[in-house]
Amino acid sequence: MSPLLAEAPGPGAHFWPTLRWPWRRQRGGPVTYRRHYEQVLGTACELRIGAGTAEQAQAAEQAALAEIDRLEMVYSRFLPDSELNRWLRGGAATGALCTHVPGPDLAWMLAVGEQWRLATGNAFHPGADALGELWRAAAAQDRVPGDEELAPVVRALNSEPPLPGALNFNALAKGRIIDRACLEAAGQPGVSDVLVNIGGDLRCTGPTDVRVQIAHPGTRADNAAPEATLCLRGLAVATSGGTHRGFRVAEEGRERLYSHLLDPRTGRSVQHVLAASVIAGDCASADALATALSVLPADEGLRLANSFTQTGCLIVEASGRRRSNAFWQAHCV
Amino acid sequence: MTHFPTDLTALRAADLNDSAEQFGAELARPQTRRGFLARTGLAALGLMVGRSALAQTSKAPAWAEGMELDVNFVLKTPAGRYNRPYAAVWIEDASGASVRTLGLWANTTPKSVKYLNELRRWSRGDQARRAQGGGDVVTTVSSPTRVPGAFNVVWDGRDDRKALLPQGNYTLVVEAAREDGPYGRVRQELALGGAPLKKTPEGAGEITDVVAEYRRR
Repeated sequence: MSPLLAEAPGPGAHFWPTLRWPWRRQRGGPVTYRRHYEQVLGTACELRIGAGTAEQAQAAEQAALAEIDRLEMVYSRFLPDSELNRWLRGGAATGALCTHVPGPDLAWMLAVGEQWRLATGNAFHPGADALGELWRAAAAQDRVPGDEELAPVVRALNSEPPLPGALNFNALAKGRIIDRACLEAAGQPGVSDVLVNIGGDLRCTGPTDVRVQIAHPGTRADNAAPEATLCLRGLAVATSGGTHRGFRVAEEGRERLYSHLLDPRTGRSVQHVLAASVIAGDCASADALATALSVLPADEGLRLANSFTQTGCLIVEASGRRRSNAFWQAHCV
Repeated sequence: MTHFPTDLTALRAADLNDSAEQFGAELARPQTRRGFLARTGLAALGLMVGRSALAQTSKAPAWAEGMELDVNFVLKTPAGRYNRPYAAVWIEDASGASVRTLGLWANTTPKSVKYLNELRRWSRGDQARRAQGGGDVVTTVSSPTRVPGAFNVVWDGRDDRKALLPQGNYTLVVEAAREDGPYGRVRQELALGGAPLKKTPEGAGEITDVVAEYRRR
């Protein structure tokens, strides 16, 4: 092949070799691929892959997407045939002898979820979805669930060990999927750095600095000035807050949005924290901690975050007060 | 003002600052090169003075305190995973010049930046803007889990250089495109004054559920 003729890059769209200047070929070098998807795990997904060639970047992208699909079939509560749902139907939800033996991914989640529940004193609770169901039903009738409705569920969640019930690893599962997708892509040949951001939780690997803006709490606007900007390398960030989802209840003619974050210890919707962000080595930990920090009182949350090494946190209280620790401040730009 | 220079050599620099009344008198004079230069200079000066005077007298009231334009739209969500289309939201003033880009969802890596041209109208305005310097680099964002396909931007009445604009007629434009895919553009004229208003223009292409609300912050 003449040096002027080179195979066109890209996903096989071109049949004919394209004419290129020879000096352009030598400049080749690493490429950075960016892709934005919607409807990944019910939210938006951003992939950024730095690789030696376009083909290697595409292979890494496919590996990440395949891992996301595979794990969604394990952890999803929306897909009726996910492994988690089959396991729950198999008797785990009712406490009967379970006929389904969890595979390695589900077993990991069950064990780590329990660890986080113990470490956060039930602020992160895999069984908290039972509360969500009460809230959803009540909000559909334009009211807030009463204490008498919540009390039995709160008792079941807070007995030790918790009574059997449906489990939902939402936050933790998303973090785990991000971690696995990121590592899967990073393990492909020729890949130097990877960023996976699914719905606002992200992890990056590789020797590149990544700028991460923390969305301003209390506004949904995509063009609002960020709350903070971080500069990270090989770390994960997760943010938890009531900005985008919640329970709408019309009260005295005015619609009020109750945060979708429910305190498993009281059953109440969280009011004192607007948003909590966590930097950690892996996204699963960051996600579980962010959920716990948005439920705990800010002082307790800060203490909890500081009990882990290499962990940063920012807690924005409803009063407007910002609390962050040294590891967070060290990564702020 | 009764001073009429009788010959061209008497036209001093000070005369150039004189009013258009004098310029009218000059027109009747015979054509010479110096005369032509002097007249052209006077005309240009007159135009400049006139324009700035006009601009000052026709100045609209400043942006109403505490008002903002809240824009929501949805990019149609098919079942299953799909690539986000390129989208841009911006504001044009009454003359059709783009004054503020509110949101741009696109890949800005050098290899894919060419597809920005698919956002036809936005990129045309962007070329004019770029001539004045400054594009933006998109970073990644950590936020509470967002709803797929739903977007929200807020306009605070400032242009791309952060200067507050006057009240008046503006056009909100939402544009979405794909590589070799459908293209859609929604335009909504808005008379932004002191009173709140709400418009729900018809969708186009993949853009649906557009709601523009001018409201108190």
